[in-house]
Amino acid sequence: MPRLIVTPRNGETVTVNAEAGRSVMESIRNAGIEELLALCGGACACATCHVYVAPEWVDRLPPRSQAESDLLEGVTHFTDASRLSCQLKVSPALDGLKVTIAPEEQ
Amino acid sequence: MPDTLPYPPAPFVPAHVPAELVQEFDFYRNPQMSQCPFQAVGQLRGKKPIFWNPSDPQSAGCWVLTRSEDIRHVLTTPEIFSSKGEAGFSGLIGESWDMVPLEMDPPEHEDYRQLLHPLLTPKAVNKLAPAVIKRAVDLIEAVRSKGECEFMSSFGTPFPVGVFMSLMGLPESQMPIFLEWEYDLLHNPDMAVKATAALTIKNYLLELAAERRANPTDDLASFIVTAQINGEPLADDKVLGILYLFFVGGLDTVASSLGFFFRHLAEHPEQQAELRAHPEKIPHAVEEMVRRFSVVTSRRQCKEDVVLSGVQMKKGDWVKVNYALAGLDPEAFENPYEVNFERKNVRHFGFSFGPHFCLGSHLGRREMAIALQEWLARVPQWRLKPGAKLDVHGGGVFGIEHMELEWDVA
Repeated sequence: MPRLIVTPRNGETVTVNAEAGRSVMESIRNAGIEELLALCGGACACATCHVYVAPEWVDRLPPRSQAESDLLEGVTHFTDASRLSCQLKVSPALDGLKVTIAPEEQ
Repeated sequence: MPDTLPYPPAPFVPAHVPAELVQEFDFYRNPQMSQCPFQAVGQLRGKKPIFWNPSDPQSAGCWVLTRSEDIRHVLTTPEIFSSKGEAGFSGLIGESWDMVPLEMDPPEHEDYRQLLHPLLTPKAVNKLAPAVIKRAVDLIEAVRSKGECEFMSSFGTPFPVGVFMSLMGLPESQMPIFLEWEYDLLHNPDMAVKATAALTIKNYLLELAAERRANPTDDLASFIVTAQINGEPLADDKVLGILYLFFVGGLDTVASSLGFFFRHLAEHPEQQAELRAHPEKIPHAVEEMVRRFSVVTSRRQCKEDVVLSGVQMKKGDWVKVNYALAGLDPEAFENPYEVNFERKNVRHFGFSFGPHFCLGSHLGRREMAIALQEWLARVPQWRLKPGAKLDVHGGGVFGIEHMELEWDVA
């Protein structure tokens, strides 16, 4: 089972078991980290599942879709490492993915 | 046909609905709706998590869901619970075009969603923000020194409606007539009046589309009439469907929400003071108040026989999805009726959930935050004016018609 290394807003990093085929967003929420709101449920519409991936992972992930970029580029805390976690599908290749939950939108 | 339904409609209970699951509830005219629609629907919770309401103005009876878990399931299972005909405005006038993409199901829904997606992203909203702030400030400054106002007509309605009309390229001088059509369409329980409004709006939007086709500008209406999907221009009924959705979605929901937010803060001076002292808390407070005061009711139609949480539903049955009930479910939210600005996991339903999540959520949320920021910065503690009338209504979009606020003037 792939594992994700997740840093919530309190800074206390945890390891989360993720199910292949699900999204990173669902894996994080299923682990009880509910501050990742994912208000739309994974429809690439709300931008409330915003995470930063660790620098070494940025180029190892499939690139953002146009819709994902359109949403992310206007959010307050956007960086090059920004992703919508609902758009990242868990696979063995993502084992060890490090993500930090972005601050709440202002 | 919805337009032939009398009001109140003749109660209807199909053979497959067990008698113990039948419960009357009038979302429009229940007397408690005019006190507090959120308390009124809250009383539905308990004995029957899913019940059959035999009298509904939109259909010959319908299921009503009360649990957020069931509501999430229905909203994310479009292959069984279809959005086709959900709002039913075209049905009111004997037609069958869809509001686009609201009344479409995946996969067809996706093309239209993708087309409209860039129009209302956070980036697009950032560009609008300065004009939105100016509009809020102008409206507030017009009443500030008076020490009182009727909130809905002074601010709650003209603020978001003005933003929307400028975005669409509609003349603001027509705001009063648009609001009248909107009221009749969404809030008038008389089906004949509703149908007349539905037709009037359709004819207006067809004229608008023809005009923008002839003279395109940089507004949203022009974008829609000149848009293409897979290299093809949109069919006429799709153009109408998009314009209709924007018209209905843009005129009412933020105004209704603001009414409840400002009432809440008028009645909870300590929370009003907290946000005034800590404006950085406003965005999260907006999220919490959208949960506490989710104004929209939607519905889905069963495409096949299905059992939901032990209840047998049949193909063709309508299922009412009231977002207020979902956001006030104690199984999902602790002390759901409490407005708690520190609440975690505010995963509400105010913008729906799943593939039909509100396309305008980024604009709506920003408008609500700007409204609060500017009021709190410019106007001291406001309160309900003692003895003044307060008109609240239920229906398809819960709202406030009339609310008088007052504050001290130095």
